Amino acid sequence: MVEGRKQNNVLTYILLVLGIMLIILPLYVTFVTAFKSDAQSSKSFFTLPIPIYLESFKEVLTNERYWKAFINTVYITAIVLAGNIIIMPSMSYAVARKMPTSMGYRLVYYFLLLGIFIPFQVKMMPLVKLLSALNMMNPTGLAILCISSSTCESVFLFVGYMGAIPPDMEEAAWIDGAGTLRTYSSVVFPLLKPMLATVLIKQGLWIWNDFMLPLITLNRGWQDWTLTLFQYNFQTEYSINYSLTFATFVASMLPLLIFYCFMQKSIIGGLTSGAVKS
Amino acid sequence: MKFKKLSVVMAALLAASSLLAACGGKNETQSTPEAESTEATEQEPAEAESEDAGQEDAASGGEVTLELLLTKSEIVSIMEEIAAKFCEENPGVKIDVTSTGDGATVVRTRAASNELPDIMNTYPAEDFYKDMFRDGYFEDITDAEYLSKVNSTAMEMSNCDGNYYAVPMSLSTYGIYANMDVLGANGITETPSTWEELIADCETLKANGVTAFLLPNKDVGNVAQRFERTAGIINNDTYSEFKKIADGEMEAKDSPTLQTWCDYNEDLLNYTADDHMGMDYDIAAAEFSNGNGGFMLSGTWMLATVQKNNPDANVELFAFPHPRGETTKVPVNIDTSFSISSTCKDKEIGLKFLEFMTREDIAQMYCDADGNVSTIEGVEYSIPQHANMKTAVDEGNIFLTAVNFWPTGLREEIRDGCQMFLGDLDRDAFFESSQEAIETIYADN
Amino acid sequence: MGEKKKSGRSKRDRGRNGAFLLFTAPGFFLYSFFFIMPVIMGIYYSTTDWDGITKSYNFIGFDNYLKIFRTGQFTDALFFTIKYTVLLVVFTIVFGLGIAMLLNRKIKGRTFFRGIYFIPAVLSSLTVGLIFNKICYYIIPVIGKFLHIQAISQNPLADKNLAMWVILFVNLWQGLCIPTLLFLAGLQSVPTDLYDGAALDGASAWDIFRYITVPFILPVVSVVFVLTLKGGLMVFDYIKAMTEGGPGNTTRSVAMLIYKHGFTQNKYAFAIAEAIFMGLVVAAISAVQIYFTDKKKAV
Repeated sequence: MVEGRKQNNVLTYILLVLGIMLIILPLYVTFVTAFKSDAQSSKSFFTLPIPIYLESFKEVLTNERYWKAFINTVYITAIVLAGNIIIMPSMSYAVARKMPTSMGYRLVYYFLLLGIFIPFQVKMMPLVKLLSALNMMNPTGLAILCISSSTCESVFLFVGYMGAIPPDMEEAAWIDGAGTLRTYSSVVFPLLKPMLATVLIKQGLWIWNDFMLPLITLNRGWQDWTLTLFQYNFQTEYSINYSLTFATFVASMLPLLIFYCFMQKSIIGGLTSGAVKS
Repeated sequence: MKFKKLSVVMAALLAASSLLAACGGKNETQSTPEAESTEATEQEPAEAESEDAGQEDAASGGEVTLELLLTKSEIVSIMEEIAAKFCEENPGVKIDVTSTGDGATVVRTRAASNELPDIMNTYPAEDFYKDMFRDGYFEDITDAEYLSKVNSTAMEMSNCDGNYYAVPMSLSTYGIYANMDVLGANGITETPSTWEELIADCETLKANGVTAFLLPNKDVGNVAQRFERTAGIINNDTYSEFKKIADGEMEAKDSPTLQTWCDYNEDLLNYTADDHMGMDYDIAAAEFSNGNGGFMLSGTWMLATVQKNNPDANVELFAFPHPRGETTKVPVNIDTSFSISSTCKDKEIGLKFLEFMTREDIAQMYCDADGNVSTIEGVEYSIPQHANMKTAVDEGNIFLTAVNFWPTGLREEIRDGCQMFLGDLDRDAFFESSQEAIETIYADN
Repeated sequence: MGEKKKSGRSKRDRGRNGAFLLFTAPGFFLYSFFFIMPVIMGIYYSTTDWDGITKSYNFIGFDNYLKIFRTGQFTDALFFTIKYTVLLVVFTIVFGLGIAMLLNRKIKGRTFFRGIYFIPAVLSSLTVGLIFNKICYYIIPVIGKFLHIQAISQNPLADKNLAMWVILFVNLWQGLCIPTLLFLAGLQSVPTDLYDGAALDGASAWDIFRYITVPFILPVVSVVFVLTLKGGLMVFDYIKAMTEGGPGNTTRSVAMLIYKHGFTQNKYAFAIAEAIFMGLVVAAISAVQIYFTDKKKAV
């Protein structure tokens, strides 16, 4: 028994390390290419950057557009996540609890589900017209738009999760004299936290890395750009220069990588603390 | 625990942002002077009035910022330089140069939201822009005096129902680039002038182990362009030929142009890199600049890229010899032209900028960096790499490239079949897909 | 009517109704206004001949819809998309679950491994596509030549038989992360005493997986299924960055086709009609899926 388990662990390690190599290799190449001159890269893509070439990276990091894009991206992501925290769990709570008895809420739920299946292109141009009519072609406008767009998926995930939480505890809170708001904030919301973590991480990653929505709404000047737009526009301008191209890749993914390194425990912990319980 | 902290921060941020959102309109007008003036022009679409609004803006804010959008990444740095010069000469004016890698999407969304950039580069010979001209998205500059400084051929090309909405700055010509250092190292001193000579040179290069002809066939946009330009060279009036196919008077497999296109590509594919199907345009351009290829099909706009890749590259552009030995004409297209939108924040300054672009010294500056044939009178076109092209233009040995006559979308419809052919050389499949593409697109237009 | 109890309950319900309405309103409003309204406008455009730029257009009824199948393009793209999605869903579930089970084992450095396996998720899909595009040109052929493998001694994206698999690989490379973590979460909800009991009873590894693990993670599978289904059916970024649908049209998904028609050929209204039709197909597939999972739950 003990021996068998040991052998299995060796296999586990081998498989996991293989997987890590698959994950790391492209990242390794990206990083070393960013820190090598083109001449160095053209000799071999795999060697370490010796001597290290910092010019490309410096060029990206000293670009004021990069920092503005960074700030915009943080700003948009923060609003969207905050909106998700405030709107989605409470809405899902209402929908999940009323769905069994109320036709209206059931319709609302299916109405929301519908959104998951609508291809983006259908609403793209109308969206542009709508946003510009409301003077919302700016980061704040995009953030509000993203909250709206995340409704269907977030509610879908929350409602599914709520279904597995028995209403006993809410009943108890009610008997203790708590109102709906109190019941929600002190009983339901804490129960939803694991799923909230999942939703926030998923939406946060989506917003941070989204390309299409910023492209169509924030193209009125670099002051509005997000990191993906910065990277895309910068890279098309210097597409022939690998070093600079990869430096923009690195620069645009670096903030999130650093954030992830620091928050890794809470992110993985949040996701695995039972995001989906049966 | 950390999670809790995070949510608190988020909540605080939301409180702030909901405040912003709550007073939506107010916030928007406060944010930037630009937003203000956009509103002003939107409310008063009449020309004279909006000009007033612009001046008001200039007077009150003390500064006008105009946006100059470029959809061609290779001219960004020179336009930044020119814009800076313009601002220097016009105190109180600021020009913000922006660029995008996805012009099609950006221009479309900006037009849909009626917020086109103040100044931008347009392609006046293309249907897409002609439609926008007719719809009044851009300022009519027919009466502008400085248009008299523009070459008449270029003006003809940018004519839209008798009016002008753009100042053409340069014409691109298309042909074959030769890396003269590579040719020289293999004992070839002159660029070929007939198809046989070209193939003979390729043969020499191949025998010496050099990639003779770079064909970036992974890049479907480049494949489409090559097809469109060279089909035009094979037959200057492909529109009529393809119309016959669409009308059922001819089958694609009997089309001389399509057949010749297949023939010449079959020839060239013998001399290209093994991984031509995996090669993108930027990679091919880099390889070519660095001497890893003898020839490459491209237009005058590539010179800037070549020089950026390798300042010492010794290249020359020559006419694509007719593969069937007939006389060759050089395809030209309007490369860069500038227009100002009808929502321009300050039309007076916008128009001034267009005039500025046609000033001899500025046009010269632009031409030297851009590499395309300048259309502005008095500009000296002294780019030795393009001497052959200048001769062609001067002798009138040119034709306006096919895409300006083809029904919209043909180039994008036919290109998949072209790419497949370059990969598998299956003529029947190519003719079949071309037949379908031509029929579909002609039926739509 | 059992006066007292009922009245207490209905009083609570009335209070709750107000609060619930308040809870639902903001999200519902935002969604209706910024999501459904543009969609309705889009549906309207699909019945016109709008090209996406001109200020005027004509109402042409359902002509655009009738044109969808005029050429084989839509069918080809739909088949590609469905094939791609099936593969993506299957691989995501199989590999996601597999990796999750490995990461769930009591091994040293577990946190480290979990941390690394999530990294690809934090990158943008466009960046990932562009990085792999370069890797496919510069690096894969070097490896292929070194190992004397004919198929990959050239850019695999140029090979009409390989291109889809490369895109799929890249999609999985990044897209596996979140499902893996969701599975990991699901696995942790399995009570350990069940495993211990089964081990004592001498159950085989497969039996344990089949009768203990699977029932517990089924809800996760269903969530992953829906999210991956959506990702697969709408796949665009990876293809745009790596092959643009080529070689030829061998990797052209429906989203790419819509992009081509709407944005490079100015057939905007027609492209929307295709998108709406695609939406209907997806909705139909999902309705079937939801119907079956609901049925299972009911049992």
